[in-house]
Amino acid sequence: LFVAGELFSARELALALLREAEDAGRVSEAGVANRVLGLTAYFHGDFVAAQTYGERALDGPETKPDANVGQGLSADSLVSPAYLAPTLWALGHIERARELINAATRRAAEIDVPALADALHWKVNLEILRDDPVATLSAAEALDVAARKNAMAQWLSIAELAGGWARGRINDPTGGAAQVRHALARFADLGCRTNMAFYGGLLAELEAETLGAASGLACIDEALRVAVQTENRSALNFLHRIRGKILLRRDPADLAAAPEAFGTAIAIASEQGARSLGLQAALALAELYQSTGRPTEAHAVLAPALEGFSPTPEMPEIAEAQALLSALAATDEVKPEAAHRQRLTQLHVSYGNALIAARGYGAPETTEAFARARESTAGDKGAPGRLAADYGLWVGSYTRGDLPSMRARAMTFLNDLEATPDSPEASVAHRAAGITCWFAGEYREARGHLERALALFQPGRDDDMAFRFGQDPGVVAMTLLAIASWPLGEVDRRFRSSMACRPGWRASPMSARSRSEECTRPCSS
Amino acid sequence: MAGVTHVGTLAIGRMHTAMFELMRGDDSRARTSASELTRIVRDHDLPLFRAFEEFLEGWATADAGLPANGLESMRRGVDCLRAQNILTFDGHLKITLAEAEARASDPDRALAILDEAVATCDRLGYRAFEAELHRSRGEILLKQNPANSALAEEALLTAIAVAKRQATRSFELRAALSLAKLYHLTERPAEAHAVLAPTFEGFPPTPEMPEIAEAQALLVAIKAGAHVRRD
Repeated sequence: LFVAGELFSARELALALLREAEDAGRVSEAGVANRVLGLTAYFHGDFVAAQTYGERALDGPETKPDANVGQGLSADSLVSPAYLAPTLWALGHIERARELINAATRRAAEIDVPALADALHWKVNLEILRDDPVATLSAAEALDVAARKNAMAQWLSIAELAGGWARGRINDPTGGAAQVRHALARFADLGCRTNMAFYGGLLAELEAETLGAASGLACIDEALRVAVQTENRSALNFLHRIRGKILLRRDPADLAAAPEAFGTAIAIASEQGARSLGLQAALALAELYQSTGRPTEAHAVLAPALEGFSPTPEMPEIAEAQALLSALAATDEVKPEAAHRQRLTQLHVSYGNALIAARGYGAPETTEAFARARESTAGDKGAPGRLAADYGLWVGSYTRGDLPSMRARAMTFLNDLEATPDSPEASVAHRAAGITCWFAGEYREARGHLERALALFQPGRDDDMAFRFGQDPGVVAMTLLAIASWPLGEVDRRFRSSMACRPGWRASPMSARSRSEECTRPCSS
Repeated sequence: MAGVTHVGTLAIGRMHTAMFELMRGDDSRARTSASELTRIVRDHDLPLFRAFEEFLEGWATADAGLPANGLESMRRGVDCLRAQNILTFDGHLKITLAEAEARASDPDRALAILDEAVATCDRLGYRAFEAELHRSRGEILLKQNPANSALAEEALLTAIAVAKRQATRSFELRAALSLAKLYHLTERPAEAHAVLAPTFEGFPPTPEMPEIAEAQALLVAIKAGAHVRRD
């Protein structure tokens, strides 16, 4: 069912298998079911669910060799990390995707050739998503070797198709397109339909170049039709982005059709949480807007898409987008807009702070105010009020007990302070990260962040922080460090030692204990 | 350097300190922090901390021998936090409330509170107090039905497993001490020794954690084949 592209039925079967395996305590089979569910979620375009299922399969003992599982299932489960790589990449976890695919291919190479072919197939997928034809060609050649050794027809076709696309993109569009068409015909003969929509998009790219825009667009239309038939939503963003590029090539003067296609691609990526795919489409649209004298629109579309990304060779579009954004920010059209956004941010932050007092941190309207403040600083890490908005959003998540949001906010907060790792604000960011870890029961990690928060705190320099972030960072970090350290077995010193960091606090009635009670261990700050 | 004068900081500092002392089981210091929080909240009209203040004041009242009045305030505090969608220290507050309910001879209510807290812990991933929730549950189950210790044993074993996973040695020692007491009372000295001895290693005796001395005494008693009277 899965190979034939009947994803809904495949998912139902996998769910039944998972329930049955869990009820019977068969962990290996449950792991395989998780993997299949992850795969179907991936092709459905539900990348978040794909990550969840994939990580379950990865974490469980079922990823180890298990004599109780049939040979085919065992071989599959051994390389279960591989499909997570393109999933994570799509979701914006660029570096982790690379680590995972490297680990999976290394591990698969130690197992057997079919396992290696499976891992390499996902590597090929990842390199195509990254839009890196050279890396794709290399992975496709390795896949071809592995697939030939075991006469794996489906994997041979993937190698042929990916190799064709890569050659077409590098230096031989005509030969590459012919190779892709041949591979697609073999897929059809084999009855493999799951990812045909995506592959159709690859052919469209090459056909637009060799046979013209009309041919490329026809390929895209056909691929979109197949995507609907096979319920493959993972390819939709890609198909619309390629469609936008072909439309632009067909008629550069038509300023409606291509932006619409790019806009559709961005909307799909946003709905799927696919940040990297969203950035690719946003960059294409921003470049189009810039080239047609619309810098404000270009900035507006690119800034939010770039949020949370740091430049990496794994995704050159990030550096490209950053350069474009800087250029756009320097234009006369965008400058007044930036000033307006800064005023707006300050207003939203002030409103959020007022709502904290009136309604509390956990109130939806408080979160809404900080979210609007944060939104208006998109793409500008140095924007005044941005850190206050980050903090307000994090506190709201903490108060409501929303761990995924806490993690995301704490990470954003830390990322925003990458350039100033010793600043007073970095102390607040580490505190947020520490509380997030503590909340999740990750005590050792919590202690590390809270120690860092306390080490960064400087009495005197940081006295105004209480008025910006609602609390004195030193006092809160030291009390939380005590709360996180005592359970770790540091029962005799931590609280007393941290008290030394805030003399004004130590003088208070609560902490007015005899000096003999206090630990002599010097505070790290 | 001037002392801390920021009112919000004073309030959250007192609240955190009260929670810390409660977690340690130091009632006297927890009471001091609770009464200080009460003063700050009332002097400065801080609605954000009112629910915590009410809860802690109720706990102090119950702890001082007025369980009915105290429990009423504690429940109001919890309800107030729930109404505001505030989950900060949820597991810890529920443990404190459940233990107060159990002391007031209502173990069923105490267990219902803990069951809800465990469900919240699982639902949200708020695992900071997961080990303590299971320990407290085990102790109250034992109090509810001393003749049937199987459920209590299971809860305490879960608490130990969670504490091991989280590397929270203090929580592990507490849960192991409770389980060792259970084994000791049910004439299973070898199991009592096996569960307690490894968790006790590396802890120097300190007044900051009386459970260490208690564990040491229990180990001595186990070795001597003596029975330690239950609390």
